[in-house]
Amino acid sequence: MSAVHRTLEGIQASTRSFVREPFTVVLLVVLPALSIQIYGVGMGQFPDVGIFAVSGSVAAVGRITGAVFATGALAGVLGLFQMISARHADRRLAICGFRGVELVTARFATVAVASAVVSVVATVSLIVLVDAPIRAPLAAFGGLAIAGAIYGLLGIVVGSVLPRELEGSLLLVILADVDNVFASGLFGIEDSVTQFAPLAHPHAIVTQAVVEGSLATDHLTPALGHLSLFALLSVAAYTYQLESGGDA
Amino acid sequence: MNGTSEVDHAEGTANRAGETVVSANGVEKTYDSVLPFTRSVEVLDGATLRVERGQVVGIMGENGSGKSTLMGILAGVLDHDAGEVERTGAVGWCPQEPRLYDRLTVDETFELFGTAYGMSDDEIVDARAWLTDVLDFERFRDRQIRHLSGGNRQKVNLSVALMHEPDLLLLDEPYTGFDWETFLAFWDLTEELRARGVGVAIISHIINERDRFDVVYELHEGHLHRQEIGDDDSLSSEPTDDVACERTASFVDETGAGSGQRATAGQEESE
Repeated sequence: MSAVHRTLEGIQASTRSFVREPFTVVLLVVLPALSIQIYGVGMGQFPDVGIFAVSGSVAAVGRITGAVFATGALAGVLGLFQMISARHADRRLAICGFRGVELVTARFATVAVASAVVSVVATVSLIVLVDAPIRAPLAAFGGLAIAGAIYGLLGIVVGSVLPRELEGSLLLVILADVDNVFASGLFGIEDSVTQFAPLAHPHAIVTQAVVEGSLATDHLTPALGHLSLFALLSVAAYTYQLESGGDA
Repeated sequence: MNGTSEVDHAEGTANRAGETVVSANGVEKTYDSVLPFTRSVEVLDGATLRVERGQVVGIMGENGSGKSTLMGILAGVLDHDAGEVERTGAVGWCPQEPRLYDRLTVDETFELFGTAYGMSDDEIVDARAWLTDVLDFERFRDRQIRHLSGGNRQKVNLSVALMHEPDLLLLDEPYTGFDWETFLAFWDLTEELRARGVGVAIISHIINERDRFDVVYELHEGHLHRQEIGDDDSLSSEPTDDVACERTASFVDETGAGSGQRATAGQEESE
């Protein structure tokens, strides 16, 4: 039995588990649009008198911020629930013969697919709900996909060390919210601080794609750097929980 | 499973009766606490045990005595702090709590775990046909695990441990939730496995089933007390690790009387 066959079987099983939860699918469709609209309308209530350090209209940046938040929070929670629902079964599968690397690959591929789906839904919602047409939709999708992937991986980390649905979800949503406030640039927080916020660079990529219609190349490398860092952290956390018998 | 290769396999393993499939010598295990206001718990203190091919071994003890921990260590799922554990051949492990994927169907579960064991598609189909027939849950094959009753979920749990025809079967309260017919079918299956030369260790609370075992170990205060069923009327007063401790009074009373009525199938208290 080849490693590729086992890995594909693992991916197939994880994906089936993911799509067979109707509530997850409903959240996936509804939450991005809801978040984009709420942030857009909410921020649009503020008078645009130059107190916010944004490059576009406050309402547009509000909608972008809503899209990034929804992508991050949703992908993070999906990653968390993937880990919690499968942690004990993953350990049994490892005892039965799956290698660690095959399980890691299967689990991460599923989280990557889930994050990509969330990003597609958020991009489409943003295109529909933002006032002006988006001139660089692929760049906007790229930024959201990186945001989703980073938080999907963060969900794996949280699910490995804090395997509790309520506490883990709260932690991820609050983190995504605070991170997003830093990332939005709305309050002109010092760049030397905000550059370390995981969503700062994806947010900048999406903003430039929507407002200026171009790819923010200067933010691409640091965004991918964050992604790599969280990939390493999540592999370490997942391996730890797999070796600890799923009872960490 | 059916077929010539299965018969050959059965004869091959049966001919090696008496060969040890798992042994534990002086195993120690403590759950350390790293949090304040919680204490470390010493579970096993020099536990010693042996299971041979074709032998059905019972492991008994009070709730919280460490039976599941011992089983986890024998299966290689849990680390131990000291002592030695040696296994030979393939191991089938049926944990007390089914560690299955809730949203996969029964068929998909067989497929996934069969792949993990390195079985071919045909072998998986044969194993599935055999076990769904013996344990009577063929009609639930297309149902997701989360939609099964506790008893049927336990049948899948047991089947996953059995499907690759292991040399050693470690079962942690395997008949929880079984109806009477399935309970009897389980013991028929166990006899079949014994005849094939499979070593079987079962954690059980059902004292009046003790005659079905070749050997019973009672776990008490971290030590194992061994009794050969049929050789003697009572448990050995000495633990297998030569460390003195007082055995569980209720256990001795019930086994001595031979009429323990602690529980019936599906009603035993979970550890």
